[in-house]
Amino acid sequence: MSEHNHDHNHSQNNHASRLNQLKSATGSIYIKRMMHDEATVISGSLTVVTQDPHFTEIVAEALETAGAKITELGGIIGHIKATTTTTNTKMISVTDESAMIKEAIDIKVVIIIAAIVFLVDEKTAGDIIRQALVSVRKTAKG
Amino acid sequence: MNVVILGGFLGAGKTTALLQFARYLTDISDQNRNYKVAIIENEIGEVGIDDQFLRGSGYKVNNLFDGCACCTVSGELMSSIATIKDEMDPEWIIIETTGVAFPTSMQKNLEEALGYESVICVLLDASRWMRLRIPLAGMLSEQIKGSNTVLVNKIDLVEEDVVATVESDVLEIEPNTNVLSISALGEVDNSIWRTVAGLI
Repeated sequence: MSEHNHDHNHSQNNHASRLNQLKSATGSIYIKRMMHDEATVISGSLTVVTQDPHFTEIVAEALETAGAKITELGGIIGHIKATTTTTNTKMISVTDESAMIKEAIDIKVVIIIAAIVFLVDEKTAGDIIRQALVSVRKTAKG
Repeated sequence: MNVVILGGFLGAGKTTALLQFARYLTDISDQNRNYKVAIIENEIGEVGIDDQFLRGSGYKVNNLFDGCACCTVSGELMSSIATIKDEMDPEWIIIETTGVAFPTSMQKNLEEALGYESVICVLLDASRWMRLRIPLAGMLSEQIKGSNTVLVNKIDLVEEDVVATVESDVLEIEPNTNVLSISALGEVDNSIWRTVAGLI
């Protein structure tokens, strides 16, 4: 098979690859929204670097604020869930007989949010989740 | 292969209950079998949350993202089950639905497409029932209809009269279901899991 005689589309692959790069770029907020019957479904992600070991509590506060806004608008929260995955890099090196351990100052945190709400339109719900991620980003360096 | 569909509205405690139920099924399964329990996790959004939690609890989890397995990704569900049967052949499959799925649609698809019979267990959040039962009446009713068991969860957060109201509402919607009350954060009695599994 020649290099260009295959059945996938280069521009689509490149687009998907660029989108994935953008989603995982530090400080970049990604939001996808959709309707499913009566439910407004919002998916979001943000990667930041921080030095704050209590960063998860900041995310929790941002979600509580988002929840309060949904309720204030007369909406019903199905759920607003998030995961935080942290990478704390340590380097261990040996140059003679004893190991030296160095720890990077910054912690990398990947935040994934999934929200399902009712009685709030797609755009409004998406904006509320985006604001939550913006407020989280402000507290970090990203 | 036995199939259990675990449904119920968002926040009802499906994933918490699933962890206990999976442990119960693992304990009662044929110990010579390589795979005892397989879990299929369906989340409607583009990203998964519960699957990460379940993986962190030591389970191998198969995901169905970005759609609901009772409708928009029903084909993917059938294909996942067929693959699990071929490659692992577990004694049990638990399908945790999205919080907006109608379990009976899934049950019908399973029977028509693959010939599998299944049982349906629906979780309800007693602490939010009074708030949700009017604005989301249609969805909640459709989730309860056709179920074999309804677990009224989070009873530790409400008074007894609320539990009685939830149970009465459920039986009005589906008179043939078994209604049991639990607090999935605590240890749930094995007799309840036997009922959920359809063994009683």
